[in-house]
Amino acid sequence: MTSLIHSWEGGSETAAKISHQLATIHDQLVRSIPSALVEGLLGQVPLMECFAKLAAATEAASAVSQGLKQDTSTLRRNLSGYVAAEQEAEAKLKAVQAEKAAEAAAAAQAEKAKQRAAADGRSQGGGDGASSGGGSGGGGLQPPGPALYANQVQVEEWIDQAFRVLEANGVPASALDEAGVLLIIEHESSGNPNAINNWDSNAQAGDPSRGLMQTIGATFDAYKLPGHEDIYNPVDNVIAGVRYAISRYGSIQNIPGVKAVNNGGSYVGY
Amino acid sequence: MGILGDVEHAAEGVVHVGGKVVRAGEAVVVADVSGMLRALHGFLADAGLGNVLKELEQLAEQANRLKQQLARAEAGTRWSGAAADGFRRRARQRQQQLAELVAALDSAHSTVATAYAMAGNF
Repeated sequence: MTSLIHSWEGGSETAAKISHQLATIHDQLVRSIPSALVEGLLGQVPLMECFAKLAAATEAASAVSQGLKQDTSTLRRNLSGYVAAEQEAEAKLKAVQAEKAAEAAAAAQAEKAKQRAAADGRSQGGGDGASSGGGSGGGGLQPPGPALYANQVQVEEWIDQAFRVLEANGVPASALDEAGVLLIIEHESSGNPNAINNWDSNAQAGDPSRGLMQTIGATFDAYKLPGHEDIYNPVDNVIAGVRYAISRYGSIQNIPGVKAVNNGGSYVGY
Repeated sequence: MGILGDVEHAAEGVVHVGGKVVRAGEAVVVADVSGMLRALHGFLADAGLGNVLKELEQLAEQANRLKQQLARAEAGTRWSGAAADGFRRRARQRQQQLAELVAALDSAHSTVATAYAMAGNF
């Protein structure tokens, strides 16, 4: 449709030029031949007819130009309507895909937890220690509610809210990378703000990784912001997790797991 | 005062009697048709309007080319639905208008050619 719009637009311009050129010819003829001569030659030379026909052709060309211009506007409106409809359909599709992905990730996580629980039962201890910070203290070993798996749209909303708070607290927008944080959340908690790791070394040390970005209590306490002090609150958790990540690695892109995935490798805990 | 001055003078209220131009109510100003044709020839030449016929031919060609271009663009589009049907109707209407423009240009060309021929430009 874009090429059609270009053709119609070009056509309108061409017709306008034709009309303009005809008007110029008409005016030149009218101006150059004295009216007395035109009248004197009435019935001998069809000068009046020449003027009339040139004026008619000028009008015809102008009408074509205007018509094509109107068509172009209609085509543009159609195009923007189609683009909007396409974007809406894509957003819906993306939301459905994200929901399905979140469901699949939740199922995988549950299966993994089940396997680990079974393994823990067999050999008391031996976690993987892939979570943030060193373990110490940090209460609330039980999440305040049931597991809650969010879809990507919801998680992105939480990240946006957290980013706004971080920016208001002096973190430059350039340091805030939504895709990187999303990647971490996807691997750490699958978007479940109530996620808790009860089997790794931090858990054994009494300070399990918790929440969206799986921060341990000590790290969360060190990097949380006033008014954002609930480790299971998704926004609060992202705020502390991002502050910790920037403090430790310099930027979100430098977090080993993000770096590894961006380089085609597998995610590693931070 | 030459023939051109005579003609310019006869700006209003002229009548054509047996090949003579007569100004009503005043002193009679006379010029024969051949003189006026020579004057017309001079005006057209002085105004640089010798190329009008060629210009009209080129404009007709241009309009015809545009008609073909639009027809090709319309035929080449893969678009369906009510809006597409509406657009195709409009496109045919524009092509018809362009055909009418070409006809109008041809007609103007032919009339101007007649006038020029009579003025002795050809």
